[in-house]
Amino acid sequence: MTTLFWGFPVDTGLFILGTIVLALIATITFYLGKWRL
Amino acid sequence: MNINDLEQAIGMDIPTIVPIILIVYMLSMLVIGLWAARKVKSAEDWFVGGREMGPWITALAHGSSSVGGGMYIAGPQFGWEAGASSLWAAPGDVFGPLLNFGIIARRMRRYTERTKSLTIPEFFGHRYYSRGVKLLSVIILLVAMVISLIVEYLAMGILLSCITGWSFQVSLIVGCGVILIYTGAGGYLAVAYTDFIQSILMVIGLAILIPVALASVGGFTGMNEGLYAINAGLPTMWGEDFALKGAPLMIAGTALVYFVGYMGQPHLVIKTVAIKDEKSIRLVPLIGGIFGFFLSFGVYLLGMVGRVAYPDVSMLPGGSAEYVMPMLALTKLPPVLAGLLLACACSAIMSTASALLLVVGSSAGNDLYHGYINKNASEKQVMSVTKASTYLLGLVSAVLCFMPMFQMGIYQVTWIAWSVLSPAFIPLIVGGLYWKRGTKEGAYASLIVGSVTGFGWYYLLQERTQIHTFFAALVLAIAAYIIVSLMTKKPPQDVDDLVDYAKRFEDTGTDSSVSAGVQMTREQFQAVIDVVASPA
Repeated sequence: MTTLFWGFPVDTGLFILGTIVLALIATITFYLGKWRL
Repeated sequence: MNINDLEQAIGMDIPTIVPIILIVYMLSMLVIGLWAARKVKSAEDWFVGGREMGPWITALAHGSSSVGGGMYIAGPQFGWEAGASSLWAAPGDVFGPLLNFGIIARRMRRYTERTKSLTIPEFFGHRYYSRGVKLLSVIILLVAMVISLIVEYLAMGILLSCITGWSFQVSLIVGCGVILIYTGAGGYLAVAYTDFIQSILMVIGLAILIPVALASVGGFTGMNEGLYAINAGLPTMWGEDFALKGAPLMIAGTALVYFVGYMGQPHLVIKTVAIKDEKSIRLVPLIGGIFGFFLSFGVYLLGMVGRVAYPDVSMLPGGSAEYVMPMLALTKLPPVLAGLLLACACSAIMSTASALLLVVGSSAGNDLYHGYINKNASEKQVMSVTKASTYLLGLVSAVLCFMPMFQMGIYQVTWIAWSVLSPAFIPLIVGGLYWKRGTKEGAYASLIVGSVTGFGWYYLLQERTQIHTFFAALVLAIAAYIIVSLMTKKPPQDVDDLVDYAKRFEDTGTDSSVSAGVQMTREQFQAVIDVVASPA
């Protein structure tokens, strides 16, 4: 099994990291008022 | 399953301190609820906290209301069964607050404040200029919410009976009693304050248990290696035997249930109505997202750890993975911490149950009684009926718990309740705020197609088509809403004006440009509805 970090396989590791990165970008830019609907 | 099963499974007696902590905790929630009741001075206070709730209270109340018994008890169960593939459902709780507060909150708050709407069905009644749409939405909502409430009560009964040794019936009645009293007395304020405390406890509980449980299996690396040894698919996103590789629409449904599903849950959307101002709205997704990330990934990880610690389901009490979390708490933590953690599980259940109860009571009192039975009722009468309905429907749900048809798995029933409600409501809420062309006929189509598909697909077609119920119901409901709206007469000008008004930003100073004609009282708006609804 090829792992990414802490024994997580590549797909699971990327999924967790991707969620963190996307969530931070989306919520922080919303908080800063960079976008609104 | 009873206390003896649990004690046998953990190989020791339940320490006395565990039930004591639980009881003290429940009494504390009762006191907070009754204290909040003293601050309730009007119907608006009871329903939406006087529209004065700040971002921290709102974010944590929103998060803990969504993360209920279905999550804290069945989340680890799902993690135990599905391994890392359970994580497909986790981002929903991270992005859910962003969807509700980024897409819906600002417009919903402005629209409902202008039309004096206190509940989501009342918003539907105004936006779709139809008392029929409001009535149908109330009926669907009541059915789905009562099912969700039953799930929470069942989880509470199971947990309390395990820990205290009381019979399931007594546990259920005690749990329901505490929730009913503080919700009925304090309304939204009681729910928001107790949710705030409960959500903090939930985070603390997981922050203690996850590192301890992980350490016992050799950390993250040990957990992943342990899962791989049981089945090579378990540590991957494809699940046991890589079963999800050929089912992309099952993955889409699992991810969407708690992702866009947030936008169709009235007990969560109502928090966008109650928030203080637009500045507060901007902070909620950040706080709620961090809370949701920690909690959602946490509960599934806990289940994965539990799978390594107890690879065979027969090692768990009653042979059910629903007991993974209590098992880990009681075997890995000192008694005081275990008691606190199980109190946290009760928190999750109580906060969701009270939020559901609030919506059920509000719909019965404000929407049904005031909207259909006694239109001229005074605020005091509406409040009395709402509180009486809250108690009555809460008790009815408690009685329904004992029916054989609700004695199935918690996770499954919660899933059905979300699939019946969210797909039917999402087009009405999002379309109603963003698309002026959405008509009352389109609303009827979405409510009927969404709720019927959400219930029927699960039993008839999900297994056969490998298309997740939620995905199917949502796609069909959106299609029905758009197609039927385009085929029917467009909404009256007043609705157009209100959608335009809701769209404007408070901080641009454009409020003053809103025509005076849009600012209507409930009675004036009802007159418009009556004219539009009357035959030509």
